[in-house]
Amino acid sequence: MLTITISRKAFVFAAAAAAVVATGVGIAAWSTSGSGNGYAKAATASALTLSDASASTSADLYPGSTSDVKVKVTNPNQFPVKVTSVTLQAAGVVTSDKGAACNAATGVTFTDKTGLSLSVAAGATSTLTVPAAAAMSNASDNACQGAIFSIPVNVTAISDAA
Amino acid sequence: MAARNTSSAVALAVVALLVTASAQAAWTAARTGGAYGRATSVGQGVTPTATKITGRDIRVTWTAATLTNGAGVGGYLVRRYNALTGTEVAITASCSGTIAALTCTESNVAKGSWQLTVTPLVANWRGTESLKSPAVTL
Repeated sequence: MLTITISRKAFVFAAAAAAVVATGVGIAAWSTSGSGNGYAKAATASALTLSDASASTSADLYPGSTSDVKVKVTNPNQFPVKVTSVTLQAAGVVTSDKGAACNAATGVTFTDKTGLSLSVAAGATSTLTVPAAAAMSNASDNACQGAIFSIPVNVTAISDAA
Repeated sequence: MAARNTSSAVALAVVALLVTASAQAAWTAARTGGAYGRATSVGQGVTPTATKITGRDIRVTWTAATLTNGAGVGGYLVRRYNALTGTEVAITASCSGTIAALTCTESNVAKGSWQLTVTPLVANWRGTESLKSPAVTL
């Protein structure tokens, strides 16, 4: 019974999709020979989601060092994506799990990374490594030893279908 | 039933094509969230050795401490304690401040019985102070 229900829905959707494709082809053909614009509507892509990647981090930061950072990305789409950049949010402030003393002087800075090629499969959640993106200065407070730092970032991705 | 299954297969194929078509477009999405990094920490200082060399001079030596990720530390703080009372006293000039080497020599130390410790550091970070050295008596 369940199979039948899914089949009907799929059939209806397929019919609608076929109509969109056919319409798109028709308009394209028209615009090729005319002077207007052609339009086609692509399926809507769902936004990626980011979640806590702290468990995957390794304790590498110390005053005067640089370190990788981790970003845990979920791709809800039915196609793979490729993360191409991870950049610090405007006015983004790095915080820690060590409280006020460390937060007042984490010493941590983030370097925007572009030109990345970090793949996330369709419907998958992947923890990505962004190389050498964090640095710690000598200003880091003593309370920051062993801290986990949360860095507010923007992640940009493009589709990565074959 | 067979016809329905055939319809289902066709439908899924069409859907797959549509998804592929949309994926091949230059779809871009920006998402805000957190990236994460973690700090290491400074290990404990290694118990030093204190040796009377000449007169009232004490040479203090120790082996290197590290951060918990294995990286080297930036230097050491040396402290001296009265072995009888446990009271800390001011270290003399040649061993005060951050000592980058693994030895230093205190000169003209007051008579008494003394124990010394080292604390590794990196910038503002401080490790755990070492255990006290065996006493040296002047």
